[in-house]
Parts: sequence; C-alpha cells; structure tokens
Amino acid sequence: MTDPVAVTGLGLLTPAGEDADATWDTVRRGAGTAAAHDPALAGLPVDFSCRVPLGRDALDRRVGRTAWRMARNAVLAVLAAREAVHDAGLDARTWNGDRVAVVIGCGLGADAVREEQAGRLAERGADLVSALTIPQIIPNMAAGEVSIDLGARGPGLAPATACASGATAVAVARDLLVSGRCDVAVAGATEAAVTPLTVAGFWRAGALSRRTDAPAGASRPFAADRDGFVMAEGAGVLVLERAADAAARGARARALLVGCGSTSDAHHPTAPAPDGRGAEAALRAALADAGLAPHDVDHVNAHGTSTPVNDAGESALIARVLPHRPSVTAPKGVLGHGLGAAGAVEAALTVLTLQHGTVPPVANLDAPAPGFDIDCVTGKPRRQDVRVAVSHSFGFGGHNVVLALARAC
Amino acid sequence: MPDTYDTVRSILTSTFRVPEDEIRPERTLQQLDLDSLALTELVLVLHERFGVRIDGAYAARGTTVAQVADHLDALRAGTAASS
Repeated sequence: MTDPVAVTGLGLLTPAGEDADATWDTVRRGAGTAAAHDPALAGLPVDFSCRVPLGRDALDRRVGRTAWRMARNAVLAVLAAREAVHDAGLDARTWNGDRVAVVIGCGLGADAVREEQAGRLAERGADLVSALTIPQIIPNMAAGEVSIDLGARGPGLAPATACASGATAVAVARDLLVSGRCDVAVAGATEAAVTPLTVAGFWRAGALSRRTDAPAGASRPFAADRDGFVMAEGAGVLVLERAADAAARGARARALLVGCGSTSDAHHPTAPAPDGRGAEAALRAALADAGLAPHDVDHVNAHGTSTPVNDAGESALIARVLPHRPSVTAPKGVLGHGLGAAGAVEAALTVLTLQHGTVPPVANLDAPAPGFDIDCVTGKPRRQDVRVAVSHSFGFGGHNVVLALARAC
Repeated sequence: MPDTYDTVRSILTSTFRVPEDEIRPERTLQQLDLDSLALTELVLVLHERFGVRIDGAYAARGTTVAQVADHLDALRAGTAASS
C-alpha cells in the first residue's frame, strides 16, 4: 500500500471547454460529441474531429510572446498547467522551483509541424525548413515549455504510453512525490495531433468512426451501433502534493490519488489481450496499491473509446472484476479521443465527479449494447455519493494504467 | 521603401508575437526579445516573404529594425550581395 497524495489543482483545455469549469459543465450534461467538420481534414474519408474552442491566435494571446516558438500541443499544455497551478493556490513566482516536477505525457506530439516541414523539405528544399522543427517535434517539449513557463526546475519527464500517457504521467508523478524527489508535481498530458496523416493512419487501421454525416453522434461508447473513435485534441494537468504537505499549507484537496496500477499485455502491438488480463491486472494493482477491495469501487471512468473491440473487452472486464455494478461513465462520448491527453483529462474529470457527487452520462447512449452487463449512466447526470472511483486508460503497445481516486473527506 | 519596414513590423508582431507598441525603427532585435532561435526563423520568414535571403549578419542581436528593412531593400534593388 502506498500513501495517498492530494490533488490540489486542475487545469483543462478540451473540446468541451476552455478551462476546467467549462469542460466539466459540458461533459456533465453529456449532450453529444463536441465534433465538427474540420478544414484541416477536407477531402479525407473521415473529415471531422473534436477541436478545442479557441483558435491559434486566441491561444497564443493567452500564452504571451513565448507562444511564437511553441507547437500547438505545447501551447495547450502551458495553458492547462497555468490553470492547475493557479487552482492549487500556488504561485510560480514564489515557490521553490527546485522542488517542483513536471511530468507531461503525449501519445503522438507536434505532428502538424512534422508534416508541414516534411512538405517544405520535399517541395522547397532544406533552406526553407524551419529551425524550430526539432524543438517543436521532440515529444518532451511540452514538458520543457511548461517547466520554463513555471520556473519548475525539478525532475522533468514526458511519458509516452500511447492512449494511456496521461494516466502514466499521473502515476509517475505520484511516485516522484512518494519517493521524495519533489514536493509539488505538475502532471498531465497534451495532444494536438489531428492531422491529415494521423487521421488517415487511424482510418486505415479501422479505428475511426465514419459517421461523417452526424459528427455529434459519432462517439458512442458502449452503444450497440458504435463504429470507432473520434480524433480529438486537448490537455489536462493536475497538481499533486503529498497529503500532509497540502494540509500543512492549508490547501484544499479536491480529491486523493490513492492508488496506481500499471501493466503491459505483452501480447500484441494494437490488439488487447483477448482475456483482458493486462487491464485486469492494472485494475487489481491500483486497488491493492490503495489498500482497497473491488467492492469498494463506487464508480468507473471507463477508457470507453467507442471502438467495437475496446468497449466489449472493457465492459467484460468491469463486469468480471467489479460485479457489484458500480456506475460507469465514458467522457470520450463528449470529448472524442484525445489520445495521449485523454488519461489526464479523465483523471481530472474523475476528481470532479468525486468532488461534486455527480456522474456525467455517456453521450449518445440510451442503453449499453446487449450483453454488456454494466451500469452505464445515460441520459442525464446522476447524483451519487462516490467515495472511490477508478479511471481506466489503455494504449497501443499493450499499456494499461488504472488510477484509483478517493473523495478528500 | 516604407512598405518594407511595415512588412517587417507585421512579421515581428504576427510571427514573433512582439507587441506592436514596442517596435520602433531604432530598436535592436535583441531589445525586441528575439533570441538565436528567433533570429534564424526571421531569416527564413523574410526569405519567404521577400524572395531574398539575408545574411545572418544582417539579422543579428544588434541589428535594428530599420537596418533589416534597409538591407532587404538593397538586396531587392540588387545593390547588396546576397549570401
């Protein structure tokens, strides 16, 4: 069993809203997928995505003049991190930055930059390739820009476990705190990789919804007629501190991170293990880490991508390990799939579920598919006294990460 | 040519996010917070916009905005050697 750490701050910038409050409000209503036809994808078989509700110019103005050198994924991370630090009641101008860690994961990275600059190289030659190419496409630069922006000089890291990256970042940050490597951890993930090439690649892999005629109904986790995920962007950041430290400075804990479980399927690059053994081991590891039993879990924030294979396997996993039917939600119905950012965004949303005693419904879902023996919240938010919740994240490569969170009081 | 100066000023505000009220002809690029990465990028952006490639020496920390514009005009008029 590992000591709990306090979640003292949240920052979100997602297709559902430009900050944590706006995102929570949209997700809580669960009305539909925040998707629209995307000019960047014009002419492709799948031409819609979930974008954050701010254009690049508005984003850059919020960041300030350093934005000129940042790729979009770094811009999103910097803004979410600032919000989280402010929410925690911390001040980057006065804290001891030597003791602040930054762990910002990603699944892909600045793929728009990579594609644009590759095009320039092919069409116009090396002279017209930007010197920013490398600083923007290296996968750790969002973490680097956050650390520069906040004056955070402790350990820095950019975990990449595909669609589990955000959850891995939170789990790694927890370990840095528990092992005494830092006193404050700014942890989360960012993704802004909605590009023609990534969309074509996921489409070729058969992973994307093809509901081009009705994007708002395209992401439908656990529905019988789900047909794939919807590409999304966004960033989510949590401020974590050892619970005693947070209490000593009088900080409000929004929730406690009580357990982390990380495993690998060691089975196949993209297909989950057929019996879900890796995911189950992660869930059981998170609960054991928290000193909890399966029947303690009141609520599950599912990975719930809306792909046929993921949702079937995850539903079976929940029914098997948690047969007492905890409530289940799946924010990707609203947010689409933010790839590497998703696990951090959803950890933040799970914190808000615990804090508000409200479980958002799964968007676009009337009832779980036949044979899915789980209690999905549908139609409208459900009031529930949630004491313990788990958040699932599974990624290509066979990476499974489960975070166990508990109400602060 | 005054339009060259205006275009350089517009590049500094749009690409490098320099506040418009900070930009004056006698200000150096360093005073406008352009670092080595920004200076390299400035040469590329000017190349694209004006079709001439200025030497790095004319886009250095100590170069003023007016000197950048004057050098671009000279290059375009064929009175200065392009690198």
